[in-house]
Amino acid sequence: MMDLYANLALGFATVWKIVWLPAIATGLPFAIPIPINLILCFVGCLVGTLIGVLPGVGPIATIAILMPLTYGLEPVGGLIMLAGIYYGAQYGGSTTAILVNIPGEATSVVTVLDGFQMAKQGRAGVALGIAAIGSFVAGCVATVIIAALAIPLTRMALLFGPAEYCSLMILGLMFAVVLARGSLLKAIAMIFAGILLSTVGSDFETAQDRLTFGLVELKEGFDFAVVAMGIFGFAEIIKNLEAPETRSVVRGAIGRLLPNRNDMRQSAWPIARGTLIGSVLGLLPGNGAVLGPFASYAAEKKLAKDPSRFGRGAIEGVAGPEAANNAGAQTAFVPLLTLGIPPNAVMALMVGAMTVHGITPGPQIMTKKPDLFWGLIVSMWIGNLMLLVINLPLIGMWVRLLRVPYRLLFPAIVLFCCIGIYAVNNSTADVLLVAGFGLFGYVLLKLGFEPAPLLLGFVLGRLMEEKVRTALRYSRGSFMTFLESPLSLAFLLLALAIVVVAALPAISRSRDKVFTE
Amino acid sequence: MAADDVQHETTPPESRLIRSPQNLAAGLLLLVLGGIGFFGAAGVDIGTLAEFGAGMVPRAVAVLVALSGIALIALGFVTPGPGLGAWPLRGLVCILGAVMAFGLTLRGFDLGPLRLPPLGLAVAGPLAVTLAALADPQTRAHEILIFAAGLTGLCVFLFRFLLRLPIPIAPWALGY
Repeated sequence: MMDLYANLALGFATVWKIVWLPAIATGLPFAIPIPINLILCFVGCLVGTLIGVLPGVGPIATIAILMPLTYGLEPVGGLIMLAGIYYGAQYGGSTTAILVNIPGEATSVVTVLDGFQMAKQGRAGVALGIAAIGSFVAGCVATVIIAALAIPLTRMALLFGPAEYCSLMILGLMFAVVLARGSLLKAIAMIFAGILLSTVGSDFETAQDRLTFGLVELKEGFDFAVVAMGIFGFAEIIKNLEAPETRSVVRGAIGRLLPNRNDMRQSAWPIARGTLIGSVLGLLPGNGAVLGPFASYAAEKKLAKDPSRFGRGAIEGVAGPEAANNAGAQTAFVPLLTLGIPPNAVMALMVGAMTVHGITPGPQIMTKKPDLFWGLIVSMWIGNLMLLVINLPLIGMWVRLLRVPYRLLFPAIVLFCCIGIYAVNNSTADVLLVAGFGLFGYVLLKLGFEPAPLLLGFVLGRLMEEKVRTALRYSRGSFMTFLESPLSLAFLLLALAIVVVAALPAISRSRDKVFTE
Repeated sequence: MAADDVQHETTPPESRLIRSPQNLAAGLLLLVLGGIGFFGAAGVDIGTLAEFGAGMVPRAVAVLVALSGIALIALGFVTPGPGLGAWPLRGLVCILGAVMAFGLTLRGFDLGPLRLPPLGLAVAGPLAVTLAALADPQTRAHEILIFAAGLTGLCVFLFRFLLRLPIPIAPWALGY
């Protein structure tokens, strides 16, 4: 317990880091203290929300677009800003769901149901307010959960050999496959394709070029930002252009923002239950967080005295799922930070960004870079607090932004993306490569492929290759090593079980239903 | 531009040999991808199971990609599924054209007989915005030209002067 306290104190110290701006720079007679990391967190939240509220731009695209902004910063500051962007993007998605009736991503689908109804009844402000409060409560609890679980899970992860690691990654990938939309076969194929993409570039052991086709630009492999922005950013923009714009931003007043006592009483328990459900599901190595809002909504509807209110603007239907959404979004950091395994596409983006800063997520960061680890965890909490502080007063601005026509928004996004991707390596070859991946991503979408598993495979590919190679070297080429360790065997059996279960006709039908609702 | 919008049939009649054109095309794509991976890494040493060479993983995964492709192709002939749908090319061409135009004009290029001097953000910016805007039929000419100029100015200020990114602005006029 004392450890936890000391660790969180270190985190706070990191976040509160003060840089003195020398007197010479400003011309003032005294130096100015600047809480640099706090400002970065604030800016991250702000721009994250700014892009995240744009209809049709979900959190994944938002982070892919904004990621290059953090590249020039030092690692700690860069990651803190990235965490801010992440929460901003999440919250921006909820705002769009409530005000425009467009879910930015799978997890806001539920918020739309009652949130937009509340908005139509002139209670948009209360819906946004309770979403922010619920998210904040969930964020606080989830931060403590992460801090408490980080140490034991990291110790456990350090006991894993390469075979266990590899099997755990396979389990995580299979979870992601099962929870992806659409055909299982296509999702698995996307993972293979992602791993194939990750092998491009020089081999890390022998430094031999492979699949570079003689191009110097490919020696280092594909840059993560290039792949992500092409497949998620541009492909998404092109797809959005095809659907005729049917945006119905809520007209009229937003109404008061703060829920009254009655609203609070109705929402308190849903928030508590949502936080619990979301936190637990977010811990799963696959993309469990995506189920949180659905599970919370179902639970609230079942527990309600009058279930018919749901879908007609029930405040519990916003409070619970939003809390679950945020709790899951946050505890999803646990598998990433302790095991180095990103459970979903957003976390895969975080891995990419961390790698740029020279950090490989995994059990070793907590011991090697404690300030970074605990600083990141505390900044999650600060990020949640900041969202509460900046989003509610700025809601008028977000609403005005929602009314900007798409025909002006998307050219601006295209230009920002171009500049951002150029800035990563000061390379125009990267810009051309992004166009290529945009085309690839668009074709994938059109052929019914879900791009998220591709990104996961791409991110995990090199690590998996490394672990498989080491494991087989230890066992002198025998694959039995994956089955002889009981832990590894258990992971593999579980992975097999969930795929088989998901492939059963009855389950796969209801799975389709959940994701198309 | 409207002529680019190629319409394919959405759902094929039941009697056709191909039951799901989408799955068939998806499988073909994977097969090509796997082929590129397999033959592209052909010259690279495979090694043994105990001691992988650099080519082992790329080729093994390429085979898996190709196998998934074959499974999808088979599925395309056996089970009914979605068609190819519509492929409106306007958005694709304009957006990707805008990105490529940005990449080619910002610092120019030199490919032997084809060469272009670096034009900087002052040219590449408005060009990319205008080209991208053509993707939307609702775009109005005067509006987008003013918008492109203003946005480029904002980007110059934001990225060059505030964030100090080494991005060329107008090398032909300003020297940077």
